[in-house]
Amino acid sequence: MKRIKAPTAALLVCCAAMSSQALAVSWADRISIGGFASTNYSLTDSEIPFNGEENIGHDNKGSWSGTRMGLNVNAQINKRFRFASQIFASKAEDFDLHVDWAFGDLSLTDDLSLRAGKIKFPVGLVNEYTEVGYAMPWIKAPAVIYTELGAPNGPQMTRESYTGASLLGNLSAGDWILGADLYGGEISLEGSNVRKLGGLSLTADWDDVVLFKATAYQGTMHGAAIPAMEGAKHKALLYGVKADWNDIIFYAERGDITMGDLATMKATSWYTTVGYQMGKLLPHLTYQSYEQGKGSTQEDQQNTITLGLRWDFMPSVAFKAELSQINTDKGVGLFPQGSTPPGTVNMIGFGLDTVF
Amino acid sequence: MKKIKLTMIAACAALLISSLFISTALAEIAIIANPASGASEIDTKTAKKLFLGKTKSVPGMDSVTLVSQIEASSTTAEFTQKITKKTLSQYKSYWSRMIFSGKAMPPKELANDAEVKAYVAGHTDAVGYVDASAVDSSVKVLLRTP
Repeated sequence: MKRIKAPTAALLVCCAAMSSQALAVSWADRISIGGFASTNYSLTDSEIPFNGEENIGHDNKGSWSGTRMGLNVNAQINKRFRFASQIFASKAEDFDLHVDWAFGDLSLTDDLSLRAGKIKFPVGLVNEYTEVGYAMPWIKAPAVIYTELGAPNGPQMTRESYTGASLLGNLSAGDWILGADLYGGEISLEGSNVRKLGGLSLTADWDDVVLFKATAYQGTMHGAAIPAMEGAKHKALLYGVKADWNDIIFYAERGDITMGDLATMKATSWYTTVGYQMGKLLPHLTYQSYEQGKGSTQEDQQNTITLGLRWDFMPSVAFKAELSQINTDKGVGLFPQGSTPPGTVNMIGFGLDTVF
Repeated sequence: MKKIKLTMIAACAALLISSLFISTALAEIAIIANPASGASEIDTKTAKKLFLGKTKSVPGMDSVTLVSQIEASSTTAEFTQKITKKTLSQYKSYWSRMIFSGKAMPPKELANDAEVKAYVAGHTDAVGYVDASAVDSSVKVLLRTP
C-alpha cells in the first residue's frame, strides 16, 4: 500500500475543498468534513502475539495497536457529482498517513450511480467502515473475517479498498430496499497485488431492521511472496445478516476463500453476535470460528468467544470493554506462523471510540 | 370559602391540562421545505428513508439538500425517536457508517429550529426538521408527527 506524507494528505483535502469552492456558489453548503478516532488497549496471558507480529499483535505486554483515526471530506460539486475522500492513520502502521479511499460519484439517476477512484472494498457486512469503532458494537470487527491491519496471517478475505470503478443501484419495493454493487479494478498489497478484480455485492434491507448481504469476488494474484500463489485465482464468497429489532442486535456472517488450488490457503470463517440494548448499555456475546487448510499439512482450527459491553456514556463517544477466550485446536490460527500457541489464551480489551 | 377552593382546584386543573397540552405541542416534529420548492406532503416512512439517506427524492422536488440539527438540540432527540425510530446514538452510529464508508453526504447541521427554518426559507432544495411550534408561513410543512 502506497503511503503519503501528511502535507500531501492535507493538500488533497484542500484541493477537494478548493475545487468545490470554485464550482459551487455557496461552497460552505457543499462541503462536509468529519472524522473518527479510536483508542484501544488489549492484554493477553500469553507472550505469543495474537493477530499480528511483535509490537502489533496482542500479548502479555499489552498493546495499543488498535489506536486509529481518520478524516473525511465530502464535496458536492454539483447536483449530480460528488467527490469524497478519507485519510487514515493507525498505530499498527506506525501512523503512516494514507488515503483510505477517494473517489468521484456520478448520480446517473436517483437510484443509480457510477463511482471511480480508490473505493472502499464492499465485502462483508462491516468492511466498508471497519476502522470506525463507533459504528460497531465491538472494539474491532470479528478478526476471523475482517483481517486487522498488520496481521500477517488469517483469512485475508477483506482489504481496505480497491482502485477501479463501480456501478451501484437501488430498488425500493415496499419496506424493502434492494441494492447491487458491481465493481472491478485492482488491489495493491504490500509487495503484491490482486489484478483483474471483479465482484458483485447484493443487499436486501428491510426497513433498516434487517440487512442481508452477499458478496462474491475474484482476482488474480501477482508478485506474491509464495511462488505457487503467482497467477492464482483469488476467490471469496461472503454472506451474512445483521438485525436491530426491539433492542436486540444480531450479526451472523460466513466467508469462504480459495487461492487457486492451494489447499493450505483455503479457509472458512464465520461468527455470530447477539446483544441487547439497555439504554446506553449494549452487552453482547460473540462466537468466531476460523478454519484454514483443512486436510492439508498446515491445518488451522481456532475459535474465540467474546463477552463485550458498549457504553454510550456521552454524545458521540462510546466506551467498550471485552473479555475473550481464544481456543486453538489445530495449527496456529491467527497467531504467527511457526509459533506454538497455548490451547487457550485469555484476552481483555478496552476501547474508546468517537466521531466528530 | 368553598367557592374559592373549587375555583383554585379548577384553575390548577386547567393549568395542568394546559401544561400537558403545551408539552405535547412542543414535542411535535414538522418536516419542512421551501414553499416555492413544489414539494408534496410525505409520510413518515418516506421521511425516515430520506433522513437515513436511503432515498434522495421528495415528490415535486428536483433535488434535495437535507438539513439536520446538532446533537445538543432537543428537537434532534425528538426527531430521531419519532421519524427514524432510533436513539440519538443509534442515529449517530448509522450516519457514521454512511459517511465513513463514502456512501452518502451527511445532512447539513445547524444549531436550532430558528436556523433550520431560516435556511429552508432561503433555499428551494432544502428539507429539514423543526419543532412544530417553530413553523410559520416562511416554510411549507411536508409532515407533522405528534
